[in-house]
Amino acid sequence: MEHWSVNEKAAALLETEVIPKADRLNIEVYRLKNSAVVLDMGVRAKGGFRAGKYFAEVGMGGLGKLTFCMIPVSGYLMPALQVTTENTTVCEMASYVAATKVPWRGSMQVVSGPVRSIRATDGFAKAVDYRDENPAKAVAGVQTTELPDEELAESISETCGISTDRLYIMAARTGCMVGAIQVCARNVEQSLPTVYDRGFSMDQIVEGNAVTPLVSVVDDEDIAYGRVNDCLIYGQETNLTVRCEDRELTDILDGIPFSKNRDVYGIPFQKLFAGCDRNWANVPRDWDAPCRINFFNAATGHAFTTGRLNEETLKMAFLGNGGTVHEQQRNL
Amino acid sequence: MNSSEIYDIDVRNHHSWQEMLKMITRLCDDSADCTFSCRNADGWKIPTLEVRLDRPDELEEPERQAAGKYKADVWKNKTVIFADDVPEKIPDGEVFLLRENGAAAVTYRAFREIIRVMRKVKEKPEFLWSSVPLSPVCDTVSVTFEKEKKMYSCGAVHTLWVRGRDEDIRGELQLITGCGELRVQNMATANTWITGSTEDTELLKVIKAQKY
Repeated sequence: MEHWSVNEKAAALLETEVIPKADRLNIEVYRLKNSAVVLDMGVRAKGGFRAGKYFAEVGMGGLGKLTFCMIPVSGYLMPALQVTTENTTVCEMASYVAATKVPWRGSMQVVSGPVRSIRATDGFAKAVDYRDENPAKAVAGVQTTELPDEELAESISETCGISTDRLYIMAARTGCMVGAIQVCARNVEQSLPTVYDRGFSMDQIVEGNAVTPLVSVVDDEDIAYGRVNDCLIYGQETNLTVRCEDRELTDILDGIPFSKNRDVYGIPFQKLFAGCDRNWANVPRDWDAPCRINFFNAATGHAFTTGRLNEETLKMAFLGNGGTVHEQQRNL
Repeated sequence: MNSSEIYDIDVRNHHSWQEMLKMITRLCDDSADCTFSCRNADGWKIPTLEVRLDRPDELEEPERQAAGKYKADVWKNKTVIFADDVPEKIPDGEVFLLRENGAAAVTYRAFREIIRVMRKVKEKPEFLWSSVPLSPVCDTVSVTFEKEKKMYSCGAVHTLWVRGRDEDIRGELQLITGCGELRVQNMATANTWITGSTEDTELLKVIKAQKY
């Protein structure tokens, strides 16, 4: 069977759709001294809707599509995004999942994107058989407030197994349009590791798609970080088509969604994260959980669902301390 | 030498829907993501124009001009001409030809409404996302116009992302009415301010041509 490369698909997207239109996408492109190419899509650059869409689609190795839509949430038609995936486990587990850690500036930087699939050094990339060995070019994504430099490029290069002159790095902070979009697009991306952690084989995943509300874009990184995670744990809904025994699903349903955390359910993530000293190492693994997953078992024709949306928390994230300036009855 | 680039949307051609998305994207110098969607109002799926702008501050309302039987909207380096035939004289630059009473023109006017509403807010818009319901076309163009206006006021949803002082935004929005639901997300303070709302019952009355 002919080998296809998620990294080369992703690099082709950058080279044909993104870099030539950098100016109109409000992004900056520059080459480092070690020849790696950085795309500032929202660290200092403004970015936008289309840059956010590309960050996600490139990050999914060209196997995923992001479209924008609107969904009703707590009486408001809320901006939202929909992700559809091909080769879902490769697209997400081997590519988009943010799980590879590389040393940078004295701490560990999390890296996402198809570059992870070259060596598959993290557990989620290892969960699928696919390896993108020796691609001509590779792409990494980082969520950061600092512009990537030579040190980060070297670090990704050494960890992931690609020379810096063949490496693209996309970067955006959380508190910008691209940051909000690329994190909210981590819906199927969040669901697969959660079911994998519960022993569900990735070989049984047939297809995945999901919708996440995009409630807020703010400058403040702490608030932005809280709100995008609110969108995932209280708002995203994933549809997974699987092929397995029904029992394999019913055994794991209760342990999947964020709503299983009854003691903290409904509390905005910003507050939860602050209680963990803003350090993921202190965050219980059960808190990184999807809001809701619907399973469609192709083998039996049966459907199962777990989790529920929390419209009130999403509404708080949407409005902040704002609200309607005229008292009016909402009728949605 | 005339350096016009003419896009005949639906005068001689029949490109009313998909070509309109391309046309709107061109009017935004490619800094837009445009799609059609629908609004569910009591079981009726009403088509909507969805526009997301990455550089809304570049757009101003077009200048309206009339010459003989033609009406035109003049944008920066681009002109939209409403016509039932191809005019003999075409201005320089990109020129789009539309019939005034077709689905293309309904879509175009929904886009123009987005820019009109956006310009009511004083703060510089960083991003915009609008969803505007599209009126059915009537043979009497004045009826189409009337329906459009009412559908904008009871069905449009506009979200602007700006940076400013909450007090200023709140004060401005108190003075803005009749443009559907207008939300201003203040990226500086993480607060969202809203004026107006959508009214599905009213939207259906307009669609069904009931008394409103």
